[in-house]
Amino acid sequence: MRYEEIKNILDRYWEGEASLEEERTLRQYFNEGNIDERLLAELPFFQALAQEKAIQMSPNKLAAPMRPQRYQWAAAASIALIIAVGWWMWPTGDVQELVADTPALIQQPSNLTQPAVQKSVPEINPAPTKHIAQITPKPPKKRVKKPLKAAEPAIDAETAQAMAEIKAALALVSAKLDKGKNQAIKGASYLESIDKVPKRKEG
Amino acid sequence: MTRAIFQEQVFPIRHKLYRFALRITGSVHEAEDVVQEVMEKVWKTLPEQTEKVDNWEAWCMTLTRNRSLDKTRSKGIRRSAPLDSIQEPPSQSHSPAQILESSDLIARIRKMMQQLPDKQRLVMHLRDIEELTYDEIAQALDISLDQVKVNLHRARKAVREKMLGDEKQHTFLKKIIP
Repeated sequence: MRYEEIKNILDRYWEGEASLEEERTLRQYFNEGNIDERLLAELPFFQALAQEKAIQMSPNKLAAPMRPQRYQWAAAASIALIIAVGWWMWPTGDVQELVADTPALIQQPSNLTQPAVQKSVPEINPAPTKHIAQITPKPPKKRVKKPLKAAEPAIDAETAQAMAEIKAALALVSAKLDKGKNQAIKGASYLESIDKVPKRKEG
Repeated sequence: MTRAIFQEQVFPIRHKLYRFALRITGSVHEAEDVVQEVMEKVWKTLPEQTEKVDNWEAWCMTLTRNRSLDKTRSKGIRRSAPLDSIQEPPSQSHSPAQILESSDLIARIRKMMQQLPDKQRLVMHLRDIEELTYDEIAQALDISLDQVKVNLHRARKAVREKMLGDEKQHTFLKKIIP
């Protein structure tokens, strides 16, 4: 390229009037190496620009963004896994076995409660549904306790009569105590009234 | 569609974004973080921005500038990039003697460019190194076209005057010191 042509572009470049294409022509000229001696003074500037442009980001530093579809698949897979594990862990086992074992569990308590227990066993519905399977482990506790309460009627008549008499006696004592309390209050108020009369006379 | 835009128009300019972030933050690590964050943001908002953005390069430059300035303000990091962190350019077609002779002057010119006022420095960078148009520079820096031209002219003039002054001084010293 002729010296005059480059010099013309260069002058306009320093004035900020060169186009982008002309500026590219200048950079290309000074980077090719075949430079007119009269333009050597300008060379370091364009070399400095070339050095700046050569700076690059390290290839290891930039991680490619993850595709959003992969996030969605990962979330869906996690949910499916949780459901599968939950289904597997849920106690859906052999319901009939649990129901069949229930009478044996109930019969373990002492012989005193046996009649009541035997009465309660037929109430358990042996239908093999999932809901019953969840409930069946609980009845033994309730069914065993109930007979203990039901044993009260087994107390003989004499004891019951004695208890009734004790209750009546306690009620009588309570009534007497109330009566004594009322009398004490009355006595106290009487004493106060007596105490006030002399004071009035003195005044 | 969005993936194609990202691969063809955004990802290839990552080095430009990095240099621009480096020019603002002055820190290699901060500049790398900025580019990573900008890339992620562009990727996430790409579907909604496809209709709005005409010039992806200018838009990415704007994001880079904003993110870099945020980091500079929040961390108070220094502005000028360390020259020793900058890689040497590919081999030039000049003779080794010429390169050695001017290497010191080149380093000084680069330092001069770093020491320019903020606007002049960024305008000169985007024009003379990244080869953006005046419109793109105005958009990236959020300034008017006139401001772009004025700042570019002042930046080039300041660098040239110092460069020629240094060269004259260098020639004079070479003459008096054999």
